[in-house]
Amino acid sequence: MFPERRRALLRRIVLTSIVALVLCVSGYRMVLLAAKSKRIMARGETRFFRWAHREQDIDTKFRDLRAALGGRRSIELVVHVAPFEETWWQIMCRYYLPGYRVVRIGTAVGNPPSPLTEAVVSYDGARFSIVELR
Amino acid sequence: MIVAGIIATVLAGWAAIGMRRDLTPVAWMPAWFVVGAALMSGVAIVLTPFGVSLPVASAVAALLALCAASLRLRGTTRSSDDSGAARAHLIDLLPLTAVAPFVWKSAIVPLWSWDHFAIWGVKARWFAATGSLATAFLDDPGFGRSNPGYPNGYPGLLAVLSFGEEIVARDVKIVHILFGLALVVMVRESIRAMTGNVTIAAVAAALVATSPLFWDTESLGLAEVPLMATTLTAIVLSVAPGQGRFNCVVAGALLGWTAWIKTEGFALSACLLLALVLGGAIRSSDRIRFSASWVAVALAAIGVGRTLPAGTSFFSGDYLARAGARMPEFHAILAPIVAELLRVEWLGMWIVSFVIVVRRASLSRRAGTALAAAVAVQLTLYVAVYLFTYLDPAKHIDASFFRIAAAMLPLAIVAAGALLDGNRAPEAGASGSDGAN
Repeated sequence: MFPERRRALLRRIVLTSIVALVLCVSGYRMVLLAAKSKRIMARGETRFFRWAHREQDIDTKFRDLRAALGGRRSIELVVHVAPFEETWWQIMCRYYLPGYRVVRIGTAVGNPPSPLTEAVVSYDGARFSIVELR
Repeated sequence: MIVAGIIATVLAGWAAIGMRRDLTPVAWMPAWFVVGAALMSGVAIVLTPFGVSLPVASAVAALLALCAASLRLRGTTRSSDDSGAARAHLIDLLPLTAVAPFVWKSAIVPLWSWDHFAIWGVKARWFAATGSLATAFLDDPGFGRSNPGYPNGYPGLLAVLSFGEEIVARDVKIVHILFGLALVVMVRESIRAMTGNVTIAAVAAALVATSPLFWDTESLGLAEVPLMATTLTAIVLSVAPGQGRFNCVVAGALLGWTAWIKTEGFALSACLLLALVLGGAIRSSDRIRFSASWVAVALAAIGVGRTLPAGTSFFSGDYLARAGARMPEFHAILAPIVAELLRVEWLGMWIVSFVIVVRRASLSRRAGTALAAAVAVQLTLYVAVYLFTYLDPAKHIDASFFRIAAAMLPLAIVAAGALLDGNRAPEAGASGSDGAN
């Protein structure tokens, strides 16, 4: 066999192998996506998804919260949730309440509601108390 | 509104580059979208200092796109001669199959990536809510964790496309999917334009579509996919044979636009500028125009970046002393990086790309070799950041290198693909087409 022909054959084998690999991987992933329980399994997802996506339907919760806020633009937010992770809630607050001045966000688990509380939105996972700052 | 914004974006792109016969027709729409995204954002950014609100700026950009598109429509003459025009092939079904899981997964998985909420998405939503691309809100110390000094090209684009209306998860996903599709198409186009080999181009595009950047939804809502789609589109417009004066300026400006998308876009585009010019991909008569348009757009990004709050930099504190102290343990920084690139998630793509580059890089294949060198320099810069960082290097590498490597892989594959086949010099294939068909 001539070297050129051997090289051409080798190239064809490599290309065919890559095509087969791509088709197998894509097919396998389609099966995973069809099986709802196996969708979140890539590297970054297994490491960070549970930590970052800790509240289901958080967009709905904040949408309701925003409706409860009415015209108030400067607020202090108390989240009744345990465990409370300040950084996570601060980021979510800024993301879902754009244009609002959230002066402070804290937790009040176990404490009686603040007398300054003007509106409360309750959920299974988290409950918000909104304190308007004048 | 996002659909109207996308239509205006595509029209703006079409008005700018037209139906170039040196590109495969399937690449027209993705190229228009990427070019149009830069143009729409650029118009809105230019209008912002004049106090123009975001909805008005978006509308003005959309109207300009419509006017330019109608002018191009009038100037378009239908050619019956299709000889020499780039065409799609049967093998192109392979990247189409490979990208299907990406589209499906992006559509069904919730928006969850931390950096979307903390950095990119929050800024986009604030731009939309405040009705302006003004960045004064970033002075609030509450945005300290949002990297206020990062470029705002991508959040600004989301706000412009939404015409100032609230940006929801669906909008972010649509834009992400469009940039992802554009990236896959541009990988194919760039290799085809550099080598003329459609099979290698399609297989490379399919490999990219199966890579972690597309399968791992950690990238959903982040700037990596828009960055690489823009970078690859700029490369395609640079290396496609029918460059012409105006297309060269567009290509250089688009490459410079990457500095508006991510901080590393500046270094990456500078490396690529050198690679494209020194690699012979740009005609000698067009090199100054190409470079000048890059300089104008990229330096503008640096200038605007200086007006943003500094935020926390990896170079905070005495970074030289830190680097000096870490040098004796440099292997401890390099080892996890190399180990990462060998992991099974990459399906051997980094190994194959490395072997191809080592075996095939030569002066006779200047374009591919120069691109590979650009990738190597950029990866070296990342390693340098891990040397200088104020964070614990091991934790920093563990938290970020996977995502960074995922973003760099398409470029590495393009470089390897360009080296697998002969080098097509731009002068040889130049048809002189400057846009219209």
